[in-house]
Amino acid sequence: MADALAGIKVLELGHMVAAPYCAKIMADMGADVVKAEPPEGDPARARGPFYKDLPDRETSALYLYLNTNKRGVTLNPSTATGRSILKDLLAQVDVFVEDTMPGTLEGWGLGFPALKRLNPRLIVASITPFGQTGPYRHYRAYDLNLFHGGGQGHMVRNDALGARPPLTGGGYLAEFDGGMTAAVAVLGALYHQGLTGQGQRLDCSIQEAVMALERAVLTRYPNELFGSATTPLGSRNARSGMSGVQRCQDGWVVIAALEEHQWQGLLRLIGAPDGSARSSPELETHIRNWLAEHTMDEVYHGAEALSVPAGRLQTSKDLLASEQLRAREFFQAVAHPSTGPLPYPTASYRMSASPWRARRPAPLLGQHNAEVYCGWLGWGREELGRLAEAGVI
Amino acid sequence: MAAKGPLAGVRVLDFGWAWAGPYGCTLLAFLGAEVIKIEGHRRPDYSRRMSMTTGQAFDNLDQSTVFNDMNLNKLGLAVDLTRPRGVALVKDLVSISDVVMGNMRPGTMEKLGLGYEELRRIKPDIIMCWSSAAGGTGPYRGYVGYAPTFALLGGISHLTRYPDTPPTLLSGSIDARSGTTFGLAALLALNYRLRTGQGQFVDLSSTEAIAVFSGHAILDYAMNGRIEGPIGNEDEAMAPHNVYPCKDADTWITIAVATEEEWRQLVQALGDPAWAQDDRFADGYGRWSHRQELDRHLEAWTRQRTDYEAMAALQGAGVAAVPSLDNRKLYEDPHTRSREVFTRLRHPAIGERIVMGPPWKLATTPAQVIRPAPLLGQHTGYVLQELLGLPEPAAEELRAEGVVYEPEVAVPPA
Repeated sequence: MADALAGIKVLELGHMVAAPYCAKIMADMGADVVKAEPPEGDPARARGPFYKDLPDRETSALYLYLNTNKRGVTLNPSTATGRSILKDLLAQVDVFVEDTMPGTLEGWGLGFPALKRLNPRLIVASITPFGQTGPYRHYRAYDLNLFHGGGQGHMVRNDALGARPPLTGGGYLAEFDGGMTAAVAVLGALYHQGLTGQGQRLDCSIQEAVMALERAVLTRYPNELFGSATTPLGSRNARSGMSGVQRCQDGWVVIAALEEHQWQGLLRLIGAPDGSARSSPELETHIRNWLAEHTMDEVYHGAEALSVPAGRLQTSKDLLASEQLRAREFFQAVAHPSTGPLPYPTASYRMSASPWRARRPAPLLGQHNAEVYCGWLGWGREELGRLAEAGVI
Repeated sequence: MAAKGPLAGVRVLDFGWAWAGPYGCTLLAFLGAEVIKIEGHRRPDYSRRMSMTTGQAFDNLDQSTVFNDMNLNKLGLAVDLTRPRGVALVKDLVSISDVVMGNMRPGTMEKLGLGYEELRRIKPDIIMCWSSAAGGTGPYRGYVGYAPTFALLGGISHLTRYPDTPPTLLSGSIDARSGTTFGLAALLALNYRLRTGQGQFVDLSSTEAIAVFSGHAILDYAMNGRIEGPIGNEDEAMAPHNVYPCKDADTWITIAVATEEEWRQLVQALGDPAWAQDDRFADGYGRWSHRQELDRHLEAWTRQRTDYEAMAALQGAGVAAVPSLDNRKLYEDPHTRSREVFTRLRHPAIGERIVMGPPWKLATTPAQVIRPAPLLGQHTGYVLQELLGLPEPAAEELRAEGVVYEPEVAVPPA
């Protein structure tokens, strides 16, 4: 039993969610990820919620979640010495995950050709809103802009929203999409690096990551709907009848009885006559009445007992209480010095030989400056204070 | 010779179904793996028949555009796994493969005699990745689901709505998120095998693949006992941060401002209007506290402009503003054009198709679209004869007995 990415060294120059999530996926699997933050810290440190609602750069839930299992240093690459330190770090790592705006690395003298000369095996994964090329490459975008700019806002609409604006994904969904999708390319490039020793540049656009998840819907326009429609609405298919969200006695459920045997199971569940037609007004009334008399758990487990795909609304509280997630040890305690132990989500995959492990809590700001700058790069400890005074670290 | 993807030489057997399994394998195929999609010809992949997301139904199994989009670059083998000779054939294939993936209900492969313990006897370093609604362990391990059930169970539906509207289900992207994570998990196992020589079994839960996006909300409950609620397009601290109507019907622009500098740039782009000097908007907290009024002012400006005019004016001043793009605009957009996000290919049964390529650019080992999704059983002959080395009479016998299926009409290569 070992870590999937044992021995892999990663430098992260990332902020907020996308690049940090990409690097977290590797840190969780045993890569030695060093996160370089500006001296004032990743802006995620300033985002709530905070432990006991007291704003503190060491207790942001978002930051703690995304940076568990990493080490942390402070570094200001806009100083000449900071750039020189960055270069020395990049000479020693296998992967560089970064999210500076296109052109920034080149301006620092750290464009890909220079980095390749410095470290031929280096993988440079750039994760930016619109990628490294194209007319929008310098455009600014936050999570809200990217979810909608990637086309998904138009797809979460339903009848209940009426004429209200298209909706964004909850939390930081577009940024998570960007980080998750980039990690696939990084791990592919890492495999190639392991075989050949060769590094390369990866250009990851968050907009394209968001778009790729809806590729089947997005391609309908150029292929079929030219000149007429725009985005078809998701999950509103008369043939599936029940695939929309439904109100029940104590909340919300969904039943997706797509296949014939599932449909028959649903009819049994609600006590409707065999062979009832899909989507008749009588049946819809019958279903509504049945749902009104049953709880979310009754619907969910009752349907599943008949092999009918179903789900119930779960909030963060429900997730923490879920007997399924508990049985699978989806949450593991991580003790951060500022909060004490808390249950953190791990990963959705259980790897039999290289399981998820909590190795270390998210770093305090600059916590590993001495370990990394003195240990890796050989700076004298007495220099750290001067570097900090000069705004380098 | 064209450069190959980083997974060139890796062979993946894909027993996937619908989207969550197959899409993970497609990502590996974009990266150069040889992915063989294995389907029963009497029980082919459901997305050959219909799509819940797009609402389409397909009469001809080879003409599903949705199947094509979700299974690009793969080869296709049709084999009857209810027949012992079909199972034996798959075992032979496992002995020359690296990864076995799928997302049928947990236990299905064991019943077929193709569980992980059996497969590792055939190929000791095999990687087997299995994806299911709730995972392969725990009290709900046999549960079944599709994208909308994962969305609701995984916690994202609760957060993706206005405070006064029902939870939304977020469409098929939920399956593709699980699929992307599935590809990622296989890559983790491949990297582990590269260093240690060992295979393993990977058990993925689609519900958990969505729950990981709520880490901050889960910790909020653990820290503060607060159930994070939905806030629509708003933000807990940023303002403006919303989706504003533009001149044409059902067109919208998103605008988000985080810093004082961005606020000054926004005000400048709006032409320094008098209302922006109001004390209530003098700092970030004031703007957030009076965000409804702020939104009304912005809306008066955005309604005078098209979404693209608003984007150009605001981005020109350094403000994060992007239209809420639909599929027509995304296809016609100069940026996606410039980056060749969409690509054209010829599908033997559908004809010319425009598909979306891989969501990244790898400079040295390019990820690319090399072929359309397979027709049902399109590459059965290749698998039997070239990969497994069966002589033609033996292959013909398997076809004649219905153990395998191959289309009768030779399909010209794409």
